[in-house]
Amino acid sequence: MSITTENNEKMITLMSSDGEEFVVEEAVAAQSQTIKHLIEDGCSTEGSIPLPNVTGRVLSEVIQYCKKHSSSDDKEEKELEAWDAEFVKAADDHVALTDLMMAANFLDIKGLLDLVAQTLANMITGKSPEEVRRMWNIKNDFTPEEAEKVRKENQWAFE
Amino acid sequence: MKLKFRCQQTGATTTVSRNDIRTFQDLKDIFSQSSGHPASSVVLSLNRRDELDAPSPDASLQSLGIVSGDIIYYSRRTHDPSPSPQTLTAIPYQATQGNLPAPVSDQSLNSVISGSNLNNSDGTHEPGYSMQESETQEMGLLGQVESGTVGGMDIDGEDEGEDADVDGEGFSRFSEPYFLRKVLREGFSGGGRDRNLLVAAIHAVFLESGFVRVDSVSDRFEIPEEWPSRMSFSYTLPELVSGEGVVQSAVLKFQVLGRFVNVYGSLANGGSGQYRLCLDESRFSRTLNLVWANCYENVRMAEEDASSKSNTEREVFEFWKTVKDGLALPLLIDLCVKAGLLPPACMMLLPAELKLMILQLLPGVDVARMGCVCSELRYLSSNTDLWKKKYEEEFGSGSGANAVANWKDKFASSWESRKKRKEFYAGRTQPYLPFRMPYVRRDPDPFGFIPGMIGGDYDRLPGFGVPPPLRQPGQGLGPFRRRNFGPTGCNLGGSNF
Repeated sequence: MSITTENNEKMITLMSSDGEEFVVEEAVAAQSQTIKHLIEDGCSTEGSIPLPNVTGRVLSEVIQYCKKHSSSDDKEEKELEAWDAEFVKAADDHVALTDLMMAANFLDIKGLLDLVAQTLANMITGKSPEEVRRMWNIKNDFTPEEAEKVRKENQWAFE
Repeated sequence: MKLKFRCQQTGATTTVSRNDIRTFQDLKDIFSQSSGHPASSVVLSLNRRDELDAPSPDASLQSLGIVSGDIIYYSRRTHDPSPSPQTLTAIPYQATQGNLPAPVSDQSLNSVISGSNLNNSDGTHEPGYSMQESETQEMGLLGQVESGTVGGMDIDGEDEGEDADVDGEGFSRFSEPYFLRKVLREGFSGGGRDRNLLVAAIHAVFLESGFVRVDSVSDRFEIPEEWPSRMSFSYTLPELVSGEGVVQSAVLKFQVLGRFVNVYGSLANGGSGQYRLCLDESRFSRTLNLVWANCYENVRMAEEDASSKSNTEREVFEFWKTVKDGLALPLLIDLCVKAGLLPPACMMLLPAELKLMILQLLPGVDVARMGCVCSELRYLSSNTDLWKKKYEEEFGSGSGANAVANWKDKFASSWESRKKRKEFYAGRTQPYLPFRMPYVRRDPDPFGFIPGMIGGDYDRLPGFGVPPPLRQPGQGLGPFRRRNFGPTGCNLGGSNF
């Protein structure tokens, strides 16, 4: 993937919410529709593009994804899929994944958004409400009556 | 002025649209004209509990708080000397206690989905499936009192018609977020109408997000009718309320620009961004008014047909999502960071749109389970469009799709009947429980079992569905062995295995 970096591509500087700067090629950054529009609007000419909603840790992951996807051709689809699978596996825990999902949503990177959403959905599939609550640390805010009512309503999904 | 008279027992509704209703006496006169009951024989009420009464017959309706569009409930007075013969035995008198007609218990037992709606006494006034059924029944006894057209008035016949349509489908009982209704019912006095309703609804979303109000003196949520120049509310988290007062809080400031209400949210001590939400009062006022009106309702709004109902749902969802994602969640995160609290579970911090996206990727049965996790997910997972999609994924797009009011119920019933078929083919015999019958009857794809018969002998016996000839003892697994499969799937406990 480093083959393309040698030509005189225009470079863009992205700044994360915690002040970390990332210098990437325009083609990589333009994977994000949000950044692409900012570039088109001329926001990138002076200094760096601030991304107030994305931390450096998350942004570095996003850039990793964008680099891979901007350098791969369509014919490498199989390989790309395998890479994607590895990529989300590396971000294994769901806290990192939700951060990644928020960032992908804010930066408007459809491929990444779909990938992360599907990964999160796979983590939920087949789990009981109790398991989901434990996994995501979600508070059960039903009163006992409500809980029973909800359970009754959805009884068909538990049999 | 447009008013509705609704019978508390039957739900029968008469709509009156007249310009000459000004005083309480006018109201009574119109009522007797339209219903045929003398006004003295009934108790009129706005909220089903307190009798509507005026110091003098000339008191204006305005002074009584009645405005156009209101629903006025009526019920028979206990000491009425001449009760109509139809009601005498059929309906126990319950009106002054503010009770509801008791759901007909037989029917509730017959249907699994209706079983959950009997808790009207606990204060959750969800329009209930079983209510609807009993309503329909009683309508048969009492409805004729209301029929006929009195000059200048139209009679709402929709109640009856719709009940018939909706039979078997049920309807979404969680069409509005229940917290919204709860807040509006318990805390909103109705002053100032639309604009204050909007503020109350924002308040509801904040409470639902886990905030508590700091500056409120009483439990009731009072909004001044005339807004002060700087109206603001402060919120904090229950964890942050200590003996010495509130450490950190978030402030909402309201500003009106024509029909737009600007809401600015920020942390009280600075240190966060400011979030701004611009809400179009006229856009949401109709919907919120409907929700508010429904707070006191145990039956559906009479004039709502399926499409306007789903529009209402969509609008409420849109409102909830806008406020939650635009104000409540960012402030919640900022407040947690500032106060050093652990923010709520990460998944719950995702914008509603993204949560919905994850739900869309789940199989239907997992969506239903997610609905059991917490109240917010219950609301999100009851989205009708979501269930329509799930239904199509799982069962294909069936015919009559337009008539479906509740895709989740349809999914559930199709799911159950398919499971039954599977169990049947897996050779497990199960006693056929009578209360399961409706699911089988409502199977949208009654011939869906045919592909499952491949390898059987249905194609050899053209008289499918006709009881098979008696099996010879000792015949064993002959080629003509077949299952006794009637059209309604009865007798699953057949002895053919």
